[in-house]
Amino acid sequence: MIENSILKKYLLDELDADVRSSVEDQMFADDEVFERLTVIDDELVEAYVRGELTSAQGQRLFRRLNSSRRGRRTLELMVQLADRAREAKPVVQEAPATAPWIQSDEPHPSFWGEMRQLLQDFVSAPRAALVMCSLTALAVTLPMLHLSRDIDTLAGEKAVLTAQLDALQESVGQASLAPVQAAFSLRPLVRAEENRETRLRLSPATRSLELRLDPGGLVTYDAFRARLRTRGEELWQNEELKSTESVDQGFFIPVVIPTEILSSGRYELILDGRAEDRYREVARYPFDYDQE
Amino acid sequence: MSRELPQAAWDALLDALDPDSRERAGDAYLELQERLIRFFEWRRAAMPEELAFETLRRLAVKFEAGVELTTSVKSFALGFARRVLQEHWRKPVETELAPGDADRDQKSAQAEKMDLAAKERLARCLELCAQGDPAGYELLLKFHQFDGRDRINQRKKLAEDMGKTVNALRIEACRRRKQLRRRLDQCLDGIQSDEIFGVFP
Repeated sequence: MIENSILKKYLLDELDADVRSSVEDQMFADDEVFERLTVIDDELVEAYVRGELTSAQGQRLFRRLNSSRRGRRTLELMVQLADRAREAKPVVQEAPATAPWIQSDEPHPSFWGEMRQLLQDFVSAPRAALVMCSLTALAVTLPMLHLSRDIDTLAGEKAVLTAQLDALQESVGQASLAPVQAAFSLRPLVRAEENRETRLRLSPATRSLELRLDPGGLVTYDAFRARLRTRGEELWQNEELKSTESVDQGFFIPVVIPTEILSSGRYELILDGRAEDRYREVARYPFDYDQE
Repeated sequence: MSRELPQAAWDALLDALDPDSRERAGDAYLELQERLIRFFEWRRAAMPEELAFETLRRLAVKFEAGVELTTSVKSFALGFARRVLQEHWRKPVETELAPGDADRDQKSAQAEKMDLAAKERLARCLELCAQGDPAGYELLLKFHQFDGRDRINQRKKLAEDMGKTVNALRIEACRRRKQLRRRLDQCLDGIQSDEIFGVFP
């Protein structure tokens, strides 16, 4: 299986002639490789339009696109799509990290403005303190409101405020309880265990996943490389990893994977060891990832 | 470069692609043509479509003459494509930009200044094409919304809503973009809108 990183280099004209020729052989022999190339190519053009490539990569890609009318149209189409997407009203968004009304740009009456500021200051406070302070703020503010507003309006606003406080408490509570990073120990797959199930369940707030890989034998390599695959496609890799040791686990190789690249499904982490400047596969660690 | 392709050669090529069904052979032809165009584009040829046609023409002539394949038609075509590309680079064509051309940057800079009228035309065509496939267009806009982490989250959410993985969504977006691109090309090349949507419903 040819790696996405190689395909990306092919599209950026960064490969030696031999490797380039090999990619082309596979591109014509294997439909899946060709499809991946087209997807990666589109994403490179998008990254170029958004200014996310390095200067050298951007220049190489632009030269290629600018070599043909077809390439220029490809570039122009992506510019138009990116512009229009930017102008379009967001339809789908992730649940905000704080209560939605705090981030709202809608005008607030002065009362709401004050409460908004007050609660924003409390976002990073411990949950218990937040609850107490918020209730105190309610207790002080609500009688004052009573002087200037009729009772129906006040009751309505209190209900809204209470709901907003609940949302805020829930949000802050989740943030403080959920781990920023979750750690799991994995042992290598052996032939007799090909159907072994390792299920990792994480909350959506977890930002990174630390896998402590048991190399399953002596650690004699200069360094390690971890490659994450799913459905036959390589998603991510990290090189120059070093082994470490703990009292309870012995030797292991820590690998930290950003959860933003993961969605629920089956994955396989492949550990390669480097010796004499060459990598060879050491072990595989299949797992199922579940996002709560 | 000849644009002629004798019927017998054409038939021989289609037979090689699928001897049992002309419809499937036609699909296979378009798929091979697309792959060849991409190959020439990724190798920085100035006229990928022309070179792809020339490759297919030579391939057809070869099949007409009778050749026994030891590999797939696609892999066989790659050999022709490489030869066509080499010949193309050797030609002193004014519009050609082979790797290492000294005046590449100057030509690129000139080409970068896109005519305002052409841009407006492209925008109008894109509008027209979007109306022809609103669902696909909306998917692409959502797919390209936001930057950085927001964009990653957007795609994860979009994939969840569609019951797909993010990878499947990437492939779906790529296909939608390709369809949009075909219509856009037809529009920009002066084909009427009813023909555009008639050919690619």
